[in-house]
Amino acid sequence: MFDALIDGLFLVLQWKAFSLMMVGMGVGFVVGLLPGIGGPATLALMLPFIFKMSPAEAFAFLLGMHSVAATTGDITSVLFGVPGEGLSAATVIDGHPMAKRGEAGRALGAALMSSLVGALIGAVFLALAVPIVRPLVLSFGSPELFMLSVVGISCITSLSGLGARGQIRGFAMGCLGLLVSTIGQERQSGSLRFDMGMMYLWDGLDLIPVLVGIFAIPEIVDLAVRGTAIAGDRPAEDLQKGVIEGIKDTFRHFWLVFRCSAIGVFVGIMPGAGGGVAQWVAYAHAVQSAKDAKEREGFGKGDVRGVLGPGAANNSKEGGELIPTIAFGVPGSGAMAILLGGFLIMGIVPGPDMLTKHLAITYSMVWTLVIANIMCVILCLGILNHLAKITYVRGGLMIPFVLFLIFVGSYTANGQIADLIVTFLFGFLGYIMVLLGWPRPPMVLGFVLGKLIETYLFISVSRYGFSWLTHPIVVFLILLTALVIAYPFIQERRQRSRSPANA
Amino acid sequence: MRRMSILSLLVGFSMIPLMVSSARGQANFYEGKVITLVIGAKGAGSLIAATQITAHHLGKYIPGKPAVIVQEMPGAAHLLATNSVFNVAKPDGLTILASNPNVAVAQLAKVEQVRFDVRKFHWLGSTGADGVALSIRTDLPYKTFEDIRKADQDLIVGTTGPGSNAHDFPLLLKEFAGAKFRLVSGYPSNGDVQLAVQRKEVDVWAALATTIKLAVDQGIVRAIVRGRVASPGFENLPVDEDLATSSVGKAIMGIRALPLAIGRAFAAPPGTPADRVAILREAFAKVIKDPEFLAEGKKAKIDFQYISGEQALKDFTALLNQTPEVLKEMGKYIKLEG
Repeated sequence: MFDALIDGLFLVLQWKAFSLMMVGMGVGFVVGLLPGIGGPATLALMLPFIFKMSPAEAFAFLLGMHSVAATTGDITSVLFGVPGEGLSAATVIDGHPMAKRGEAGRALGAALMSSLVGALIGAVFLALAVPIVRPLVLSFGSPELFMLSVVGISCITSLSGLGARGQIRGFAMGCLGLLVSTIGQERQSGSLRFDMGMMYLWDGLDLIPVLVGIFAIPEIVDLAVRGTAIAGDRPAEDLQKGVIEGIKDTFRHFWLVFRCSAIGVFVGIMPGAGGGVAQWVAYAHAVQSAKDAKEREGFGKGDVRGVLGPGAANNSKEGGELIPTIAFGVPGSGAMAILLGGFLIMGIVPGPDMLTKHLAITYSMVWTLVIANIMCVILCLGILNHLAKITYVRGGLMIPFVLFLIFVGSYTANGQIADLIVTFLFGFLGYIMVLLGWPRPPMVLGFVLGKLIETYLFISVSRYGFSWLTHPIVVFLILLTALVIAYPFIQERRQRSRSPANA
Repeated sequence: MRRMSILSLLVGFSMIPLMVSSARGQANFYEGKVITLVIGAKGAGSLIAATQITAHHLGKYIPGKPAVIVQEMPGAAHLLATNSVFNVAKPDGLTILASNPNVAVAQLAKVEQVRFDVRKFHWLGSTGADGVALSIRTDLPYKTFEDIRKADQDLIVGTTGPGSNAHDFPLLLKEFAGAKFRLVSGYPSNGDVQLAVQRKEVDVWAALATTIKLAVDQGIVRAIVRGRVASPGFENLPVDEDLATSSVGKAIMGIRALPLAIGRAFAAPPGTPADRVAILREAFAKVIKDPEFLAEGKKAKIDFQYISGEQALKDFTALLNQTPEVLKEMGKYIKLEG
């Protein structure tokens, strides 16, 4: 295994592979920065270039691009409130309010450093987990995956506001998300639901136009209404100081970053769990780290921990997602599906061989993730000062530019005009939700997990009847769900019992 | 008489520059242009990989050496892309559909959303047929289809849902050949079914022969039955149509076999000028013999063989020519894939 690790490093460091990785990183950097335009669309565009490359070169090129796009996507999320990548939306929740408060530098420093730490932890986990990863993945059947999705959706309690009113609103939004996820053709019988006679809706709604609409449009409207720059009329912050402060935050909350990275890797490893889930669960976990109600209320208004958690998970999951893709041929996200297409062209068959015979190639991918992330963060830290200045540019100048890129980004999801309509409709919904104080994250979580829950519940019941409820991992996950749901209430109660004592 | 023949000779000669300029015109037409191969899927899959490889080489066989790119337009099991190329794309020889011939079954079933007639496309050629095969976990004792018929309990078949090969192939074997199967549908992809086989959640799995072959080579499954199209390595397996115990079953299996026999076919929309269709047909016929193209196919484990556009059209016409009785029976078992 150690030999393969070293061989993998040498595969990446060969001049050709390394130069191609740099080219890929350059493309990924620009694409990640452009609001709304994500890595998967670019990966698909770049696929034809790999024909003449060796496998190590091709994956250095593609993964270098992909991992950098994931990191720089966070920058756009923080600065504009527009998910830079379809899947980096959770960073928007706290990152953008920080930018609005004039703390863009700090938020960016935190996002980048946590991304780097997340990527490194993810890679280490991945390297160490190779011998046990096959039995681990095989022990998670449909019932276990169903329960894992239920644990994910139980995070809604943490993503909703405090008190009965907050919880009810969060629950309602979660249900709305679940409902939206049922649009399209049902997988079991093939019957169509809520398709309104439109073929576009047969495959259900795509995550990217929905996320971009629900988060970006309200921010644009808000910017237009305020008529100021993103950071308002505040005096310019000392950006250098802010960035350093953000980096320090990462280490101040190192255990949170560590735990969220672990969440990212684990969710990434689970086949079919989907990349969109990891950072929302990590965000919910970050919210749970709030010590009291007052601290918890700060989430969503610019708590740096809300940036650190998803930032770390977003990059650590990249390593995790590679596992089901290379060992089982089941891609965990759109980007991984395109990477799998690259495997086919390269003549590599995903399977157990990738963890034994071709381990060096697998490790070369891990090394690419590590090297590309380190280089990207160093480069970004150098130019962050200039990037953060964007928040002081007058809104009137920013809006057309950002709006244009948002719609281009949505359009790249499926290349259909209907993508733009979905973006607009969910933008309207998002704006109403912001206006009336209904939380958006529970809805997104419901939407992301809805299809998984339905699919795996159906398969579990039709395959095992109800005997799956006695599977040991399922029982453990049921208990975990109960704990996750109860945690905010336990916390509140503990807080209440403590406060009279303090008084 | 003599004057007439001299006149006709003169007219004939005067046509030569016109013919030359027409050929040059086509060369000029494609020069500096981009040909788009539209495919109704995205992500991974042998159809996408085969289309990417075709795009990589097609341009060099078209006068003017245009660039060739792949545009993914996923949705409604390829219907969206097929509708779009048939109705929306400009018929100028620059937009080509990388089709999934299964859309003809949707046309046959008179699905409301079908806005095309496969018989009106200009079929340019196919890069090869891919068969379908049914396989079983290697650790189970069943080695032949007869063993499956005599199994003491139902075997669990994992499927991706109605309309897919993974679902319809075992369903028809269950209904018309006495296979002891219980279908568990709804797995998101073939990869997920294969994973379910490895964790013993599923016993039986059917898919395109290329996909099953990879799993057989890894020792995960053993192939038991195949469809009409014989893929390399599976030639000696029993064919589903021979196992059917009723003529209706055999006819429905036959309908399902036709699109697979047409394979990865390409088409230009109706109205495309005949000379450009001819150029494109010639290019497809040539690209299939290109050693680099074949080498890339071999690397991707895709078996390329040329099937002419005329043959594809003939097969589509045969597919759509069914008796009302067979259609009625088919409607009970075959639905569309999502």
